[in-house]
Amino acid sequence: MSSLIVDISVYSAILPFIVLLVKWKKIPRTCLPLCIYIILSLFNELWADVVIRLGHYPLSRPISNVYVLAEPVLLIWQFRNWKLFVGRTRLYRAILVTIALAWMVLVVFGTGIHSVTSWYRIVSCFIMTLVALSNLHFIFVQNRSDFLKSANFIVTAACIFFFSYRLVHEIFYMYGLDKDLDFLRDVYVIACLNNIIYTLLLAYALLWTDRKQPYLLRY
Amino acid sequence: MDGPQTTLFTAILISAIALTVFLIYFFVILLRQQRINRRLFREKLHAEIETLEKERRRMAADLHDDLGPSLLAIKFQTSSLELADPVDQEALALAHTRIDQLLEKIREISNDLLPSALGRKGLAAAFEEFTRAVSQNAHTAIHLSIGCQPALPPEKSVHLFRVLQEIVHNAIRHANAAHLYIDWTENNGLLSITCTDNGKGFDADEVSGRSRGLGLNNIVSRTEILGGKLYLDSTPGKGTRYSIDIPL
Repeated sequence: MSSLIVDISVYSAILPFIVLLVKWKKIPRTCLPLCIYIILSLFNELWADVVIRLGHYPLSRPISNVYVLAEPVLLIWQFRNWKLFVGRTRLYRAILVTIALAWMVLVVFGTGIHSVTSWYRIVSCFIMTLVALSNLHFIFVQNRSDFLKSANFIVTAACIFFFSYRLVHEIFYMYGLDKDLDFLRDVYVIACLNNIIYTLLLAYALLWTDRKQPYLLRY
Repeated sequence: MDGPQTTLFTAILISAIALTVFLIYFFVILLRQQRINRRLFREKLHAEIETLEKERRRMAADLHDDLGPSLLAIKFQTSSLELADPVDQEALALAHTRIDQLLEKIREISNDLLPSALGRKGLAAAFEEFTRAVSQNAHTAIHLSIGCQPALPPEKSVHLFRVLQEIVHNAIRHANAAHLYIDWTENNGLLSITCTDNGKGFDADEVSGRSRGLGLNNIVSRTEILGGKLYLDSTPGKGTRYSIDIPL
């Protein structure tokens, strides 16, 4: 059962990719970071799956470590395209610099690119949750369109859900690193469920990216 | 898994479930609150526009029914004066000319406040009349293509007329457009109006953040009151396109 959930989690990344391919011509240029993110996440999942199946687990780590740097950068860039940082360019740059510095210190100079560190993931998940919450506030105050048909809202909700859970998960995972493999696998299954919901939400959000939004007054 | 590991796993599982429930609850109340906010905002807009329209109707009626007839009465009364002095006669003639000019101005203001053709001839004819009058004094050529005669109730006709009036004014006053194309069609119970100008355009996001901007608030508010949707494409230097869909 748990291996089935892990497999579904890995291959669930294909779903948003398929939506991306189908909608490619209609997706606006402002959603480019989201598109790159979906392609990268599929590549990361498939690469990790292939190398693990071939018994070369350590080979997945450098790609995974680069991916965890690209993930928040691309999402924050996407939020910027959705006008979150209008008039706050310094904040935008400061967040990106913080993520890059954290990655350099905790991943490259810390544990090294060939091993996994929970500390960087905790920092990036914390930053991503805060940025997504800020964007949620921005949407709630500025936007009067139907939230359930807004790609911006769906991606934001997905990010809050995914990163806040991953933050908690990483903390527990770090605490239980010395536990046995059964325990780690069971904890990983919960993360996989979170990942499945996240990718489904991303696929659903992509469906709404090409819909023309009516022009509405702000509150 | 041994005892402590099972306990830790249970703690993780409970935390995950609790977090999920909190987040779902959070988003549900957020969506409900947004629906309430949208409804309240719509009601506020509706009340504001209705008050404005009532006031305009009252002012138009006052001008047309009180001020106009009073001026006419003054003109008739003074006409009956038998003035011997040619200087006085000239002064009286000048006063009558001024009264005629005032009456004409009152008619213009009254028509601006509430177009009389709207009630008499309907929306399409009133708008055609308006664009003809505006084109004479403006550098913008208005190309009007009316593909249908929408059967709208009077209060809705007023709102739609105002929307179109505002679009024309924006194209002339703010966009400095040389051409404004207005297409008007009906499809499956939906009135679709497309207005495209080749003016200087603007940043719609920047304008929507302001409390007042190019009368755009007026256009959006009235479109919402009509239960319609406004799609706006505008880029600085590349003109503006308004697409309005209104259910009939």
